[in-house]
Parts: sequence; structure tokens; C-alpha cells
Amino acid sequence: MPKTNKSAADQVRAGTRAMDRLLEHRSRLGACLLLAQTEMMNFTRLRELLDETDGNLGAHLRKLEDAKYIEVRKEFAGRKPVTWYLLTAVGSKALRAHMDALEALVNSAG
Amino acid sequence: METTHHSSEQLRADLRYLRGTLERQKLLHRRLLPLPGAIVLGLYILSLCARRDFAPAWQSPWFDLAGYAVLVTLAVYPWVDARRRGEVVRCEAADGVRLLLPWAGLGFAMILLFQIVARLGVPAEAVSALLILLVSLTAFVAGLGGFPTLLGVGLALGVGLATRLLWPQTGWLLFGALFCIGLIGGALVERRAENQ
Repeated sequence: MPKTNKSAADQVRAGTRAMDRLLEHRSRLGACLLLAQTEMMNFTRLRELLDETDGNLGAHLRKLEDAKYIEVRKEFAGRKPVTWYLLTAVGSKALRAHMDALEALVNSAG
Repeated sequence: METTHHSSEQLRADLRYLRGTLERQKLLHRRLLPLPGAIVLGLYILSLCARRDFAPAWQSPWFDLAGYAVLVTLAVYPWVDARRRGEVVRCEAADGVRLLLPWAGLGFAMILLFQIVARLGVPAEAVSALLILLVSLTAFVAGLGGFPTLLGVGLALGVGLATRLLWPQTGWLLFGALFCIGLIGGALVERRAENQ
């Protein structure tokens, strides 16, 4: 029935609107999900798990850092610099809201 | 141009990718028996069994101390290993409880066992057999409860104990060897699952 279809389409549109633009990219969403599972994760481990190149991952993480979704800590392991990433409270809240919107979208799609 | 999950096909592909990523990350934390740790613990148990068979009177505080050192190292290793691989692990209370419950049950069963021994005067040989049976069952149950690696350890202990009871002339060394194989086999299975 047209009315039902329209209502489903509205729900999809509403779900899409509620999504966080920054977390719509799967690598950025993946990085936030991984950081939500741990206290901290370093760049190498994130790159390995997300299967991204150095350049791409660096750019995605910079966007998350600019939005204050993640925090960066640098330390040295011997002479080698290691960059660690943490999910901030702002990032955690945004991630929860995005996941809720994603869930609503999936549910509305049936 | 960035690919975002707007179309249903893209959304499905993204969800598959995210699930795969999270599953790969979780593999690290399911590791109970890092291979070097399993080898060291297995060899220590094997040397204990060999001592029992060939030099039962030999005593050394250093040997006992080495046993405690192996246990402490095994307890700390997963945290150090995760950090070396680039993660600082968050302690999840639920996981800790799930892992500790079978061993808390084992502790309680051991207290009961010692009470039975004290009251009934059970021979030392029977006490060690009962202790091994308890540890074997606990490892087996923990294996069924989400730590499949321990299934092999529980089975190896059970088979080792049965061998020891049926053919006492084989001594403790065979039991130690079976336990060692169970431990190292479990660690290898974990490593293989992680690499897949």
C-alpha cells in the first residue's frame, strides 16, 4: 500500500538524517568501534585490523581527532615513536547515537 | 570521493566489514595459552612428573620458586602481549567472572576434597588422582563454557589419569607428556584460529 511505503521511506530518511556524517565512513566507524572495545589502540594495530593504508587511516583519524571524537597520545618504544588513540566521551556519545540510528534504519528496512 | 553507507548494498558490505574487523580484534583476547607460555608450563609439569618418577626424594626451593614464577608470568603475559600488539586492554568484569567461576568452583571442590581426606584418611596416591580429576573436569567445563582451548587440556588430563590408573607401571612421566601435548596443542589451535 502506498501509505505504508511512504511511511517506511520516511523512516529510512529519518534514520539516515540521524546518522553522524563523520561516522558514515566504515573506516572511521570501525576505528571508533575498535577504540570503544579497548582502553587504547596504536596506529599499527588499527591499520592492521581496518585493513587500511597508512595515508588513508591517518586522514580518517585526523578527522576524528579534529571533531574531538578521539584523543592522541604519543610515546616512544625505545627510539621508535608509537601513536596511541583513545575514544573520548564525545566520541563515545556520538558512536552510541550513530549506532542507534543505524539500528533504527536496519529495523525500518525490515 | 568517500564511500558512505547510504545504499542498502553498501550498508550490507559495511556491516560485513565491521563485523570481520571486530571478530579479528576479539581473537587476541580469546587467547588463553600463548605458545611460549604453554611450552614453558608444559615442560615444568613434565619435569615435575619426571622428578616424581626418577628422583622422588630430590627437593629444591629454586624448583618450587620456578613453578610460582611460571604461573605469575602466565597470568601477566596476556596483558603484556596485547600491549605489544598495540592494544591496552580494558578489564571487562563479565569476562573475568566467566573465566574465574569454574576455577572458583574448583577451589571450593578442593576444600571439600581436603575435608574428606582429613576425615577419612585417604591415601596420598588417591588424593593426587582426585585432584587431577577435579582439574581435568574444571578445564573441560571451562572449555565448554567458551574457552575451547581448555577442552584439549581437560581431555589430556583425563586420558593421562586413566592411563596412570589402568597401567600404573607407566609412571607419571607419560601423564606429564600427555598434559604437555594437551597444553601445546591447545596453544597451537589458538594460534591457528588467530591466523585464519
